[in-house]
Amino acid sequence: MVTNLDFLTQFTKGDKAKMKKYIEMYLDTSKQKMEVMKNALQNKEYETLKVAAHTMKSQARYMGITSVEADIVSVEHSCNEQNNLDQLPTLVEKVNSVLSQSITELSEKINSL
Amino acid sequence: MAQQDRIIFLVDDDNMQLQMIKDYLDERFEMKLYQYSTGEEALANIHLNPEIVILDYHLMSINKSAENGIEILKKMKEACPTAQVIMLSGQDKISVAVECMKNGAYDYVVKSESAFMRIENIFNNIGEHMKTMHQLKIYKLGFRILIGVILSIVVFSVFAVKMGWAKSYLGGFD
Repeated sequence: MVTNLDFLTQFTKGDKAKMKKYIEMYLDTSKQKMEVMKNALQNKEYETLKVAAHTMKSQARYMGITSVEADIVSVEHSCNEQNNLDQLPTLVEKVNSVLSQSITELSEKINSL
Repeated sequence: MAQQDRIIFLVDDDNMQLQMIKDYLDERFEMKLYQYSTGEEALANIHLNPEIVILDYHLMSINKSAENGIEILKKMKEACPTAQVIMLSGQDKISVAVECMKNGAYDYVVKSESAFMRIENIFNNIGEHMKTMHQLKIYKLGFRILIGVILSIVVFSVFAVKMGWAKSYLGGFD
């Protein structure tokens, strides 16, 4: 499991409708941003890549996806400083793999709410 | 200012963040909350005179030509100096926080699980600050009235003395 909904449960006081609303928002954004990150990496659009990664950082925190934060920060840092750019494909792949896993887990969760 | 008169601007291009802050504040404060996804939209409505503005530092994730939070902060403080601006950012960087505070931000909050509670505390602090400022205004007004009354008494007394002197002077001729 890469997700942990402890915070969201506490934040919504267990309100299932609210949990569902936030999870749906996360699913929409993460699917979209994963695509943006992939394309931006291919086209070497590092500013776009940085902004997409930045958006995912806070959203992932709220879904308890702690394992991805360090890699997202590295992506942001590399894009910003324009260094270690050769490591970006590996980092983006790692980030997208965790986000994919989170989408699977949360899609299942949403059905059980 | 009555609680229901509080006007709050929430400026963030991250829809989920926007919704979470809105829901959290709605449950705790009576206020009129306006949401904007760009700083330009918020600035266009600055005549509403917001008491508090929660402003994202990065406002370019949807609209790349949108101005950054720090530029919006400067323009906002110029257009509405009384607005207390809370800057929100995904970056836990002291240099970013310092930059925000230098440009007139009331506080700086990092987007994290504890951000909501931090914002709630800042709201309460601003409420207390506004109350103190309001009381100070009343004290200042009271002090001015008191000085005015004292001055009037002094002027009246001098005048009365002079009148008395004039009366006895005139009386002396009678």
